[in-house]
Amino acid sequence: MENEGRGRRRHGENNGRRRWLGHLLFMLGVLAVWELTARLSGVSPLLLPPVSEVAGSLWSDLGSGVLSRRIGFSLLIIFEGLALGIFGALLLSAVVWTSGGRGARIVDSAVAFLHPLPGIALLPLVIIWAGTGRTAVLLIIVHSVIWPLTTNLTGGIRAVPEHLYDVSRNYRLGPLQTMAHLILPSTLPYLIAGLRIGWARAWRALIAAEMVFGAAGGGGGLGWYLFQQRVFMDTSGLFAGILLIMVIGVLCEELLFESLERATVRKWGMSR
Amino acid sequence: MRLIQITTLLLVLLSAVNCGGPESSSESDHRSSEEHLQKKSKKTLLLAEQYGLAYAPLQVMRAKGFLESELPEYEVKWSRLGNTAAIREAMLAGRLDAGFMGIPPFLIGYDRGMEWRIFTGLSEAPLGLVSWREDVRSLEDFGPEDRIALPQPGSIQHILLSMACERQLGDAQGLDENLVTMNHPDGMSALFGRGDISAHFTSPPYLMEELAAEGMHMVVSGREAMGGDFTFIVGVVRDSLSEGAPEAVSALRRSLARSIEYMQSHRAEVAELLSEEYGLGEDTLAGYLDWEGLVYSQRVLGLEGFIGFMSDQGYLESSFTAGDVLSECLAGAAGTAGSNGK
Repeated sequence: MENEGRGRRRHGENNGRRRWLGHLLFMLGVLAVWELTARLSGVSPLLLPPVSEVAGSLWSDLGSGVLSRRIGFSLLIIFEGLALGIFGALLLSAVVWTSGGRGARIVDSAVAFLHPLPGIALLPLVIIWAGTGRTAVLLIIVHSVIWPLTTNLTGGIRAVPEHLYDVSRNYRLGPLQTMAHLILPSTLPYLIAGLRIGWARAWRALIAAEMVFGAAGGGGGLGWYLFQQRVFMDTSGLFAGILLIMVIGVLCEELLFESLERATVRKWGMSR
Repeated sequence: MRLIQITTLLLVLLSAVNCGGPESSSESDHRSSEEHLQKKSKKTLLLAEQYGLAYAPLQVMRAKGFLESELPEYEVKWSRLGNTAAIREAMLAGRLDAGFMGIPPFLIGYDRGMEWRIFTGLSEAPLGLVSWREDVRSLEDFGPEDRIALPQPGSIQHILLSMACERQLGDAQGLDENLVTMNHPDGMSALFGRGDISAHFTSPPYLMEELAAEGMHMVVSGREAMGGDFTFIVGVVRDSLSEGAPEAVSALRRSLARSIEYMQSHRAEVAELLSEEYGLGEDTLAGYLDWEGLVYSQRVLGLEGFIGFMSDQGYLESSFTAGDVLSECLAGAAGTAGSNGK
């Protein structure tokens, strides 16, 4: 038993390392092709600046602290939105779980109508209601997170086999105990999968919202940075921003959610 | 294994790039031969404007077909783009020959390497920062929570606000943290909503509409910010057009002159035509056209003022003069570039 477990873990680590190597090689390959195209094809650097130039503006903006402020702003607001979204989704799922039929139908309809609605489509309304400040961006992020997360959580609750409920009833577990011992552990894989989707949606919504109405006072995030590069026609800065958005997306996905999964559901043998 | 796969993939990609060279050039050959074909039948002239009363001569020119009569061998295509960045990008992509915009965004493009020049002035206009807040009478009255709406950083509204900040606060970037990017109609409704947008830096006809509303007042005017007169909108043309088809550029200049004349000689008709365009009453519109400071003219004012300020503030990195950015058809009339802002 023990040997098998260790073998699996080693296999997992190998997989992880290979994936990283794959990402790295892919990135290097793209950069090489890009540099060659930019240098050899004679395209105007206003359309396609060489990698070296992009690296230069990335370096100088990181050095001057402009970019780190923007990144900090973006990440802070996104984690705030994620936290609120998780809270809201847990609340909605609790409604589904406790109320049974009617509550579940209401939540289902809400999800069905609101989940396909892109956050950015709500932007004009949100501006009227909440102004152009940080709150507006936060609302859009919460909207992008809460519905996919709710879908996943309620799906997870429904997937708990009926006989496990019977067992919890046999043990005379109260609602809170059932929550702690049965619902939470068995929905965890669904929660993490939902968080992954929610994170990706939130990240897109944030960048889009900032590019539409710009600085939300006292600064702005990476979307605002991109917008500024656009209006000041700094194409290499534009590329730098796009690269950074990609890298942060991959890092969060790989470091945060991968390790969360590894530390919980995969360790417990609930998913591979 | 994986490594080998990836390296082969890379090699394939690289060879694709190598093939891409001749292929793309043959494609451009193809395109130029297509252009050639078009030239034989009818050449196209792609023009872009934006929305606002300052562009009125263009609307008159379009409605009366002045340019078409000057250039019968051309097919003239107009588009209306939302902001100067879009015009710049369209021109960069080769989808546009000439466009109309504020001087600062033009200068930013020129500074970054756009091959374009000013071929005419279009209008001088009253611009200004309008607020609904009783207690805001000068720039010093804005607190950190106040939001100021304007089209975008680097726009003429933003540069004028920076100029005013330098004059009144001693710091050109003094209000940069308070800016919110909005187009004029959105900015106006946000101002009228009396919410978190305390002030709006705008241009005609929005400026007139806002000032006509109750409780609105001007905090600082564009003229005060600049310290003199300046041209609001200029016409900009790609160097390739000036060199390849100078007759088109001079025809554009001639039909613009004709439109501006026409606006003066046929006031009632022009007011009717434009009132449809802007959804404003004829009388209101006629009143706006007579507004002090709104002048349609082909001269270019304030160019040196903008270049000087924007270079000092780091918006422009390379050094050039007003003469460099004027097209040859304007360079003869050097006196038009006078009136320094400082």
